[in-house]
Amino acid sequence: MRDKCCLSCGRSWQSKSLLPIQQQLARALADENTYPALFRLLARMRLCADCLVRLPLLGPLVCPGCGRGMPSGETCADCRRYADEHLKQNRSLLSYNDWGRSMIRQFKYRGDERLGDLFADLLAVGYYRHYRGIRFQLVTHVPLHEARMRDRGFDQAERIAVRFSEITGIPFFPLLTRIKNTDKLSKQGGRLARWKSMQAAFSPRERMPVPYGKRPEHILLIDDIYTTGSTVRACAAAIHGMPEFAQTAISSLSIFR
Amino acid sequence: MREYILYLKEENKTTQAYITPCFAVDKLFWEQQDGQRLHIIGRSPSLAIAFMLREKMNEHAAEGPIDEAALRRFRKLAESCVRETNLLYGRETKEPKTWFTFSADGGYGTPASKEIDMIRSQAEKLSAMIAGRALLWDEVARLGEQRGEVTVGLEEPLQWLVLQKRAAWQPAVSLRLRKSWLRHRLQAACERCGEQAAILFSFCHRCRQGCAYCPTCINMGRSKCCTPYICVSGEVRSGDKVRRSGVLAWKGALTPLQGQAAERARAFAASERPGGSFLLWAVCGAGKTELLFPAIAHTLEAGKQVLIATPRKDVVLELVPRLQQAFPTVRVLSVHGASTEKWEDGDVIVATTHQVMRYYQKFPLVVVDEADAFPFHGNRMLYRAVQRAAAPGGKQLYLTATPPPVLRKRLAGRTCGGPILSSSTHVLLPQRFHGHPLPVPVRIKVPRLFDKIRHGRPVLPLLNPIRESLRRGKRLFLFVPRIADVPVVHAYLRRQLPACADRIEGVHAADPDREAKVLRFREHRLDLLVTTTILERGVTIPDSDVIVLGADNPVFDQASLVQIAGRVGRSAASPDGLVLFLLEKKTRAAIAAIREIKRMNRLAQSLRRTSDAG
Repeated sequence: MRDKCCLSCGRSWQSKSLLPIQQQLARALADENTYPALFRLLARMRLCADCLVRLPLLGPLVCPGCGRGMPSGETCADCRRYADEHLKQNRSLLSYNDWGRSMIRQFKYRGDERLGDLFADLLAVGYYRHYRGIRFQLVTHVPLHEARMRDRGFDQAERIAVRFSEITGIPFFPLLTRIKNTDKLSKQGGRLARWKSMQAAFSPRERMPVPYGKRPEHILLIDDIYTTGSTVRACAAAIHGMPEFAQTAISSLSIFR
Repeated sequence: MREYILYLKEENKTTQAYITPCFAVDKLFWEQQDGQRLHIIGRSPSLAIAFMLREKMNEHAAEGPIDEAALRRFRKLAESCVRETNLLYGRETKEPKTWFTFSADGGYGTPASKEIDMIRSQAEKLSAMIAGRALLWDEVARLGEQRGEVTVGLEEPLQWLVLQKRAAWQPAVSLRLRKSWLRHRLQAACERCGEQAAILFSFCHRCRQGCAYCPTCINMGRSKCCTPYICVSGEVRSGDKVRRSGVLAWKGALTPLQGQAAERARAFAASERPGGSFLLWAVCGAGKTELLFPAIAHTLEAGKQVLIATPRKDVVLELVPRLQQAFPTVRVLSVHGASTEKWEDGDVIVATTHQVMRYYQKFPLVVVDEADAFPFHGNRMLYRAVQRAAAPGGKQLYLTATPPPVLRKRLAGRTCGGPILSSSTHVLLPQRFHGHPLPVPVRIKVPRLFDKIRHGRPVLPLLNPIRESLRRGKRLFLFVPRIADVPVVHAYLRRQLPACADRIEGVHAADPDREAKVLRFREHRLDLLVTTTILERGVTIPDSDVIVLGADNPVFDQASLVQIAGRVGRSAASPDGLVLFLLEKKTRAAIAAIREIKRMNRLAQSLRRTSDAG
């Protein structure tokens, strides 16, 4: 009974109008190669027709640097000013509005772990939409601090990353740990404050068996929200600090932007 | 990470198992009494496992004196139990691994950090703070923070209370092994909301064990295996158990019939017999809230507290000012999710169902308003919460116009000729306060009703009554079954009735302008409101008519149709009006609703006749 409720609005999930909407959305997001995979993802996502229609999709034209929706498709002002060499690019699926805010709150702070699967599916949709042409050898996540994890009781980022890797087939490996328990980023105002608090927040894991015979050329870093990009940039810098990944290109993918 | 120690207490040939997070406190406690021997069985970081093992131990505890061999047997039993749980948990999560750990060794944990007197005084403070509440561990800490009390090291005073049997605790989600010849099963149940089927199994980084959590009541804070759920029975407050008098300042008068019903309710609240439930069944527009006043006043005058539980926040917000006006000298609290008075203590507490779950054995009188308005699957949760919030021997008073079948069977008795007027457990008030009969719905069958509307063809059985009502200057509710129908019907009516197109509006639960639109309708700036069932109760608009479009849809059950019909003729100035059910095929619910309304009218008539004759 409960499995038939939409995860977002709690109303009945399956209806006659759901299938056409899923097909329509999959067609809008995919090309002919990715359509089957995308449709399968949308079909099992447990969002009802109303919520699917209301997804605030970004694009198709986005800033090539940070993935912000740009009607003209040119690089946005922030990227021209602040881009660094560590992070190659970011892409996001949805824009971060009230719906996203309430979903994130339900998942992270209320602890509704069922949403983890939904978020992994959304990330995979974003992957098929933006990163289909790139071969990633490795996917990794933005880790949570030990204290925060104990507080919350579950590691949402790792859960999502594991599911994501199951869906897309890219091997998942946790490369980093968080050594600084930063305040919540959303409580800190300003790009500079965020950037400062993220300095030296991550370090490589101590035991790092190289998961591949050869060094990976391209790593995908996944996170739930990209706001100013200070978190993923700090992670990318930490990854580049490891000798075996110094030459690796790093792209990031987030659900909300 | 907290660890829980499981030990056996041997005393005069009886043995009992106990659990403690701080063994030193238990030792202090038992040392006060002579002739006790304590044997530690082992320790586990998972609270749910510890309680499961305690149950197991207690089953086997009567098997003779505790010696080394017996202790070994107990430890073996515990280990096999944990192994079995690991296996079953792995099956549920589809990931076999060691989910739970249990170490069968002695070790006495850390010594008590405080003196015994310190623990005692802290325990007193804690008990005063959470008396009558059922809270998760985190909530206790938050409450302590708010009151400015000590919040660290709460385990020791709490354990002291538990040993004194003044508090009870358990894992918020409990695990039980159910063994059967076919297959063993792990049964998880949320102790807070009673959910069993939907419990989700996962891993917790706080206890580093398998940890199931309940998604049903997740919005009140996560209830999971490793969080202690603490229930402290409410003591009657000693300070103000003084008899008050004259708390009721309400100056209105009840009609003779109302007076009789109110007196029955008061007698129930005042009776010496402990416990019991009473159903106050009054038709829509009978003045239900006023009927409660004598019963509430009686309880308050005895120096006791009253809880009024209702399924919806709107009702809480509407009820509180009315009650405060009627009882100006007492403290009336509104308790709902967003309220700031949630953690305070008053004399009359008006709470939503979810907040009722946070009370435990506190109230001598619990009133449940509109018991049937709760969504279907939550009903069991409501009854459970109400039962727990009532003090031992407390009374439950249900107040409704359309009692759900469960209540009707249990309290109103079962008679073949329809309901009777009163019994020892219920009273029925079939007449409205103004004494006029309820408007009886008219049922009209319109084949392919929604197809016609969708294609914009005129539906005369719908349009003619609307024109007629509007001509008479009445306001009109138009109920539709689904949210998706609201814009369709709205657009259709605007096209069909161009004369008043801008005085028609549509509203549904997800509508951001919902309140504004209802207000405009109330102020008669709108003539016609297309709505879903959200407005079926609680809205009183004088001089209005009602049409239900598609009354055969399962959304409209009997209770809901009776409530909708009850919107009409609420004021003494215009006691009748139009209630029209338009349906594609006839349904049991529509027929039963009409039959019920007619039956009420008949009962009211016979009552009037007897009172006239008398």
